[in-house]
Amino acid sequence: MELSALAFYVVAGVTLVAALGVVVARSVVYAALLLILSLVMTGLIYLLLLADFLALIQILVYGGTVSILLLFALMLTPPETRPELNHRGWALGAVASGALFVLLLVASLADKWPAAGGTRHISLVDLGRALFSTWAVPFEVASVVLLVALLGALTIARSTTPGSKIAPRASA
Amino acid sequence: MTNNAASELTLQAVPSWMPAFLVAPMIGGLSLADLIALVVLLLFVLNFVMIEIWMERKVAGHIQLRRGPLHVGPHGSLQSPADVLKLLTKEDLTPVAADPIVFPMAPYLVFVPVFLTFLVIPWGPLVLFGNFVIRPFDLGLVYMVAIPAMQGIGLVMAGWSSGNKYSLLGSARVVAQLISYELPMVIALLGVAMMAESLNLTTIVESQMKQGWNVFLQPIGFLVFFLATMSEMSRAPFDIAVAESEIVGGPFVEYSGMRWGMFYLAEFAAVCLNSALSTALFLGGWELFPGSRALGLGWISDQFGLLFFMGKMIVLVLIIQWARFALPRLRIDQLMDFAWKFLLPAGFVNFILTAILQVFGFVPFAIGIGLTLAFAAVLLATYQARRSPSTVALIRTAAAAAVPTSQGVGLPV
Repeated sequence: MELSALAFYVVAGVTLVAALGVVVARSVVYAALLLILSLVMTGLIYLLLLADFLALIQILVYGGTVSILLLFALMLTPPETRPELNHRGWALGAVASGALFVLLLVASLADKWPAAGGTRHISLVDLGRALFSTWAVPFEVASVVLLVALLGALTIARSTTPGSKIAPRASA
Repeated sequence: MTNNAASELTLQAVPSWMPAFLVAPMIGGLSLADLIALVVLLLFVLNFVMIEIWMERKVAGHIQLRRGPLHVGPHGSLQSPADVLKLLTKEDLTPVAADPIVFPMAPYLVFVPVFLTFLVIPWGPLVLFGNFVIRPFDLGLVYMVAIPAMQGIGLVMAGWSSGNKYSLLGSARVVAQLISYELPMVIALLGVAMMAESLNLTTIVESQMKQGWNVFLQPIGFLVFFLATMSEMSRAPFDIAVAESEIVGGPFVEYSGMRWGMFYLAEFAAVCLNSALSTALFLGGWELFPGSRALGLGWISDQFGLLFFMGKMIVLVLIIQWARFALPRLRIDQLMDFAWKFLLPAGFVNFILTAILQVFGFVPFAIGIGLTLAFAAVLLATYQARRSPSTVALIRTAAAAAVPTSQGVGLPV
């Protein structure tokens, strides 16, 4: 087997095991930590596909920031009120994820995908040029969507106390 | 640290920074020269951290009118090795309430990201040895933001797994701090990227040699970056995450022995790292002084650049240490206000001014800098005028009230 293919199988295997662990783990914090592992490993898969910018952004956004917020939210809930994870809904979950898997499989078989290690490395300059010329409109639309989400988050965060225009300042 | 020839040996198809340790050996991106370079780098970091700790204790001592470590070795210079030996022989305690899997894992997750970030630093050339940089990676600037971000997970894991409420409070503070200060840091880096028109740290240093150091062209950016990194690594006066007097030591409370040493190592390695990054991004990297190339003295930097880089780095380390012992710790709300109401807007101003410089030239940029400074002065003046009475004024009032007046009224003593 080619070395890059071997690397891919190792990384993909760890990703899948970690992802399975997220579903199986009974402790919420373990599930979150395994989710982080799975997300970082996804970044390594991007790396093996020579998409180094995407890999770094994956590690920065999902490995660093999003997962920290996730852990933060978990820790702010006291352990007594945290529900014990159970696996009662596993049949429904299996059907739903199976359906999603088939959908993705069909979609991915319809297109030809690059193999690990074999593709051309796309430089950041090419990426930037493509983003700001060919894909300028989708890029701007994405930024508008993000802005709307940001404002929505602010609105939700501020409306905790009814009647007041601004949520009270956290006491120092 | 390897020379240029070695870094050219790596496969063309593999991204040039490949030693992400696990993947690289598998796809042939890691040569023997790289391995040697990594070992040398690790030894450098470990030794520099020991020197740094000794420096810090000396700085602390002299600022506080003490003499600092004195007895082990000349001027106490062997104190750090002695401390390391002590740490190595100490027992690693695991509290009963600690999580058995996450607790021992956390210290490594704090140190490894810091060490990995050292890979992109352009240390500069040294005669007979060539140019010291492990990976002149095109995405260096993104890498140096992305990899240290992983450190937060380690700290949160440490705080949670200790089973101690002080640790948990500490990691909550770590998260709040990391998330707030990452933004201004990245915004400040945008200015650097725009100046050099590159994300490669080596190119950024070389462009500073052509157009002047970023500390002069990006003064606001430098300030924002330096303060934000100082906060990112939880150094005083931004050390609310480990504040001993409030939460005993934050996420590290339950750690002992060498595991605790790993956190300490990571903290001091981060000081070294961030000083090196500031040097490369804003202080002209390995150039002797700004404009030396125009005076025909460029060869000095080309031959002994590494020494100048180290010198600038050590000066920055000393400034960080000075700040630790000269300034009181910020409260958590002050810390948040500082990030969101000062550093972030300042970062945006820097970004806009850099865009003006790149598009309209130097004169509008200089006018913009002047206007910004004037605006900042006005803001500061109004803030000072509106400010609640200072502590000194409060004490004076209290003292005046406490003095018995003719009516015999005063505070009970």
